[in-house]
Amino acid sequence: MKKLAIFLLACLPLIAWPALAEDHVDAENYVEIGAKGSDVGKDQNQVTEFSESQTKVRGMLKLRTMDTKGDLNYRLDLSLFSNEDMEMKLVFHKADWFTSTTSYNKFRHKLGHDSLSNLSWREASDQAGTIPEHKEVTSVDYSPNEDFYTIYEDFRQVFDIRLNTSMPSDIQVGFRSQARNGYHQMMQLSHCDTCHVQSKSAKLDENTYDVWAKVHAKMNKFDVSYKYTYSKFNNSADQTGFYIDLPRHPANGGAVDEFASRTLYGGEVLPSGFNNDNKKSTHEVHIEGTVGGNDRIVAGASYSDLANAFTDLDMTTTTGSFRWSHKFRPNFVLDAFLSYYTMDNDDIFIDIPAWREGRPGGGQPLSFTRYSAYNRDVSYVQLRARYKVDDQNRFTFSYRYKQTDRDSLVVNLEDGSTDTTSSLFKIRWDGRYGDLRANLMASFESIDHPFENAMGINEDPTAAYSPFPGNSLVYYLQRQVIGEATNMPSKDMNLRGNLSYRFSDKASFNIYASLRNGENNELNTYTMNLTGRTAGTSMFYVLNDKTVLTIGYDYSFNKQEAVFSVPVMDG
Amino acid sequence: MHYGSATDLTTNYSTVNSYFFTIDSRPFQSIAVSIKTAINNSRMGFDPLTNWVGPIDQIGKLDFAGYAEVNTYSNLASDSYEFDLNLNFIINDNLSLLAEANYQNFDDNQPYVYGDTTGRWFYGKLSLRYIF
Repeated sequence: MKKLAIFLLACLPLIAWPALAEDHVDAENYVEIGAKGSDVGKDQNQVTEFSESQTKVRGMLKLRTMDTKGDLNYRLDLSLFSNEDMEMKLVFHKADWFTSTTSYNKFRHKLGHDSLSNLSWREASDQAGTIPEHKEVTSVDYSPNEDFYTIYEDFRQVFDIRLNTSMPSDIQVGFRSQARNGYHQMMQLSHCDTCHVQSKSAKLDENTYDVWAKVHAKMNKFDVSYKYTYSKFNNSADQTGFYIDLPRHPANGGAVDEFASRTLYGGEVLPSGFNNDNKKSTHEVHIEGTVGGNDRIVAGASYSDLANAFTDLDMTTTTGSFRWSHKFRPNFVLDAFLSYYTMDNDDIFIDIPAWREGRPGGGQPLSFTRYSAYNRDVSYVQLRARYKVDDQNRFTFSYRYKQTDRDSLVVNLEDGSTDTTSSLFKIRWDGRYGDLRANLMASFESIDHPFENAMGINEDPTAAYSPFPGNSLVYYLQRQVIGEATNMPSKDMNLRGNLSYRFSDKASFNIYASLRNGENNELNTYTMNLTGRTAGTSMFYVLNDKTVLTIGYDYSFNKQEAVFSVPVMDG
Repeated sequence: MHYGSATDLTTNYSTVNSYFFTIDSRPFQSIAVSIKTAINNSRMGFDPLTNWVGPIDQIGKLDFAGYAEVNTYSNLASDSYEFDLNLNFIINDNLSLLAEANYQNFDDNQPYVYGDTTGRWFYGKLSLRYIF
């Protein structure tokens, strides 16, 4: 919300400032040279997350220049505040057939430092917590005084060329390079569970490249385009390693063989948290145009293939959409919209040793095939009618049916369903009475099996288990969890209104409010209810020909039920 | 030994209030001034966990009454304000003097895993602009 306030503040000068300080503030060509400095007290990560915080004075330079020579013109905007804070945009136009746009942006983003101070805990054998027991959670921060940050860079070069052909056509060729450099905090859990947490500083050296070519032609009344994009992600940072503790009994340090038979590794340094190199190819086709005088069609399709260079896994995504708009009467327009996409991610076989291999009663296979939660088909159809009653009143009605058909991710424990379907009804009124503008919107969505963490909470009581056949030692490999949990509603109602009034050329007023009420009564553990309210107002007032005043207030309130679940276990 | 799960239904609340105020003025022909302020306060927290259901008496040393304060672990509360002053002194048709001062204050009233993130920041800039 702080960022919203900053954003609003950043936008306001666009309204007020140019009217007051025309020439010198919004000058066409200028160079600005100066000095700047800053000072930070106490913690810097929150208050200067994206700002410099060094206690020193430095120079700065801003430059804006534009010119026209014959059929060639250019514009350059440059802001140089430090070697970690700069912005540039350069645009060249040659007649009406060539445009070159170059931009570069660089800034520092400060990341927080988790002190791990909350990860210090020890079991007690009495309720008062006075007699220490053996099980405990410990943590080690190997770089406690280090500040973590990312230097982000974004370079873009785009050429737009209009072709001299009988059919109006143009091409676009572009390149984009993004980089993230710096150091971030990496954590690793050790032991048989989360008992030992380690933290280290890890180098960031990541680059993403995009190259694309786009061809566009106007064929009769249709705009047709095709775009191909090749993207590549490279991680050049050295892998960070952590020593993984030897697995052993948490209380007495014994039973090494038994605990080793339940874990995959221990007593060695292993790499952690590495983003693998990958590459992606995307094809996109877009068609848009009018048929007759009353119909408009927009259609698009795309296909992309993302390959992980380390695991050799592929994920493909295919999309398609079609929109038809028909004007039945000058004041009545109907839109029909169809959309579909499918994602297919490779399966991978997770080949791991059997559980308690070589131990009495052990040897149960644990290897499995990981089916991706990405795999799904998503489609929806939407109908929208816009009816203009008169010059003052317009109504919009819409209905959307959406289906998400997942391949393997269960979202309802009772029937094992992997599908989510929803129906959304929406009505909106727009009014315009002189200097008064107002709108009201009401919507209701009914969702069957919204996304949830099926089998996410609540352990089954131990009485539900019996030993494996022919095995007196092993009752289960992993505790069964039988409770559903989510923060997504199965019924969702929204109301929203906005009113603006322009008192005169010198004053205007705006007020808005919204209300949300939702619930999920599908869960087998609890009924989740949620409520949301927002409201706000702003006023713009020209006090006199020299002063403009803007004032505003925004409020939001959200309430949502959640369940805490604690496994009751001893041993 | 596992006995199942103990559960407690609670409610999460979050409230945000934001205020902003700006004034842009040209009190003299050669001076333009802009003042902006923003005030924000944010609160988030859970209701206390006092109605545990489940096998809470199975293990004598477990203190579910003490768990009543678990909800406070995730409390968030912060107050912040920002003040920004921009001054443009027009020396002549081609030259102006620009000054900017910005002060931000963030009070972290409920430090969490990142520690107490309370901080203050002051930024100043003084420059000459040549128009050509």
